[in-house]
Amino acid sequence: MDDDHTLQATVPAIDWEALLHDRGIPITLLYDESCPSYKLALEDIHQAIAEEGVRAEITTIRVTTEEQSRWLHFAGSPTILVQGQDIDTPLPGAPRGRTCRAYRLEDGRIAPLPSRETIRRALRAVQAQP
Amino acid sequence: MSRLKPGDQALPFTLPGVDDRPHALAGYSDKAAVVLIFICNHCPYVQAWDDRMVEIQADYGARGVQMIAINANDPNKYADDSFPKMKERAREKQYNFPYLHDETQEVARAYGAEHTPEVFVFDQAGTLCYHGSIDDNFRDPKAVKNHYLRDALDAVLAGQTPPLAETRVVGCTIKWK
Repeated sequence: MDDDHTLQATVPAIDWEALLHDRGIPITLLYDESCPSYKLALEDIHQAIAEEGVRAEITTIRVTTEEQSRWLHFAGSPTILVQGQDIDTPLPGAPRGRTCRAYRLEDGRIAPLPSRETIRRALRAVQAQP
Repeated sequence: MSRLKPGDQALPFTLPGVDDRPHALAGYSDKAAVVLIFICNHCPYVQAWDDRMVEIQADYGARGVQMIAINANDPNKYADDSFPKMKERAREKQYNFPYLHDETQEVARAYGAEHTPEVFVFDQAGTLCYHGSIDDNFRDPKAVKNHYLRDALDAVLAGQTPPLAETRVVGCTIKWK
């Protein structure tokens, strides 16, 4: 038996950037079912993607336990991550975890989901990255 | 938990208000309609509807309508829902209706409330005429198509049956102890 064998096959390096480009921008929707606005948030994500004319891959994660919530650093339902980044900053002093998340809209009102413009802004920011 | 249904009678209660006075439902028996609305401080749905609640009381108060808000949330789960924070919210939002604390959660359980905000409208005889949401758009007050609570109040004040006795309640869940 020949002990001195060497792996000769060439393993091509994975081009993560290209892979990401093929699949589109990764978007994650984290939600708790007890906060119904996540359905509208998902609709808004689809609409924002269409309006920005980008390719995106949407993953939805239902948060069902406190442990999962802690592990995911869940800021409340719904939370939208674009390329791993929260599209908005949680309001100061607002409760986190398995709770309905409050967002401050452009006109100052509080809403249980972000504006579509906030989602679009996050998509544009990712596209603008070098 | 059983919920009060349209046609059921209001259940009496006395709860402390943010004005540090006890409020008995019986004290409002002279009103043409009483709107009981279960709310809390932390819920973004309540915050989205806050101004509309104040507007409705302002618009209908002179016509004999009394709105009464009740917070039954466990403040150990959400510190924002504590009695001192309720006082702050009432001041900040200039609530023009009593904001009561259901610390034992007995009233919320008796009425079968499950969400915030959740509306119960009673006529002068104390009969439940409408149960559900304030309107059909928590997101944008200008985009509301169905003003459920206003429609119910208009009907009750005209001595008629509201067009809808119940609508789907949209909001946060009440945080039980």
